[in-house]
Amino acid sequence: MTAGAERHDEQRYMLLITAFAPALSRLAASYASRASDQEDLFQEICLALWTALPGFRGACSERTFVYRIAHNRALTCCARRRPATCGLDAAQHAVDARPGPEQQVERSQAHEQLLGAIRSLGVGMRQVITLSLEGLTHAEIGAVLGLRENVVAVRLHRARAELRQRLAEDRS
Amino acid sequence: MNQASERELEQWQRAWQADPGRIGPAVAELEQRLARGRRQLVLVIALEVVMVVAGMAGVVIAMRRHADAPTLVWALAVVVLLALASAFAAWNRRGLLRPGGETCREHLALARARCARSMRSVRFGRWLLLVEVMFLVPWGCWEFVLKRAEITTHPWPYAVRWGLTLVAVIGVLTWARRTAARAQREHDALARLGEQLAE
Repeated sequence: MTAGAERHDEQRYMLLITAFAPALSRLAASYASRASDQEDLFQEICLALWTALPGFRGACSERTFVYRIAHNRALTCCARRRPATCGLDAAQHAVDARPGPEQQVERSQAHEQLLGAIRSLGVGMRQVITLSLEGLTHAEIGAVLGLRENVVAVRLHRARAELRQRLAEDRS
Repeated sequence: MNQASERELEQWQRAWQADPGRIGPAVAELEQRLARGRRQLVLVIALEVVMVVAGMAGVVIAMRRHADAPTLVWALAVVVLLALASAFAAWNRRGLLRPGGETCREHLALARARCARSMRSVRFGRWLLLVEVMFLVPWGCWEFVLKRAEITTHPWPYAVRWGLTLVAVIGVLTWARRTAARAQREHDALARLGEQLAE
């Protein structure tokens, strides 16, 4: 690879990682329960993104490309580790520095509760719900996961119903 | 989607995105990890090459020192078994570089194929070991009958050789047990993920 192409890829990577690092980190948290496993998975995803970037020719949107790589890598990493680490035990999370302390605690609790409920879903449902929470449309989710839009809609509907139920069980 | 459902989704999205996440690693850090991975890969290939070269060198040296019938048979067996192992290693790796497509299913299929190949290499390793032992035991007896006087006067070179063989057998069996367990565990986890994706 020429130095110019390398610099171009480096710039592209920096732009993508700046835009998507928070979402990728949340995605890693939905797959791995221990903080150390989340960090490892996040690093693995970034590495996969960096190695795949030279081959990206714009056949899909950058958002689709990034999430596709992230989910594919997360699945295979999840299987490589002991399955228990993909389970439901308590995870550590970074807290939001912007709001005040009370809001911070409230937000953090809501996030943890949601994350716990999401982790209890099957992988297929977990994928569609996390992508939906990142603001992707059904068509985009379909493009990321290689599913038809109607399949995404059905799976998302079931995932939301199940998530609602898990959250209600948590509260009660 | 009705209004209540939309509000619920927005509420979840706010809660979800309240986690600010991590900062991505710099390119230099990723390049270091890539270089580490490349070094490990080169090391594995180099180890295989070294084993083949050492085996062939051993054959040449043995043939120069003792051009007798047992050494000739042993040399032939080493060459055949090395060729067999090298051919299997190359064949067992084919088609494992890239997935057939970009979807999760295809990535899972590739990961499962890698596990299956890993288990196949363990099965091959065990069969090869069995063949080697089945060859070495009668060959050793034959050599002892032919060179009884030499072995009883200078037993140490023979003891060291058979000791090393025993260590190698134990090493292969340990590697096989660990690799098989790890591959089976990963294979089962991938199968479970595949089932969940199909739900």
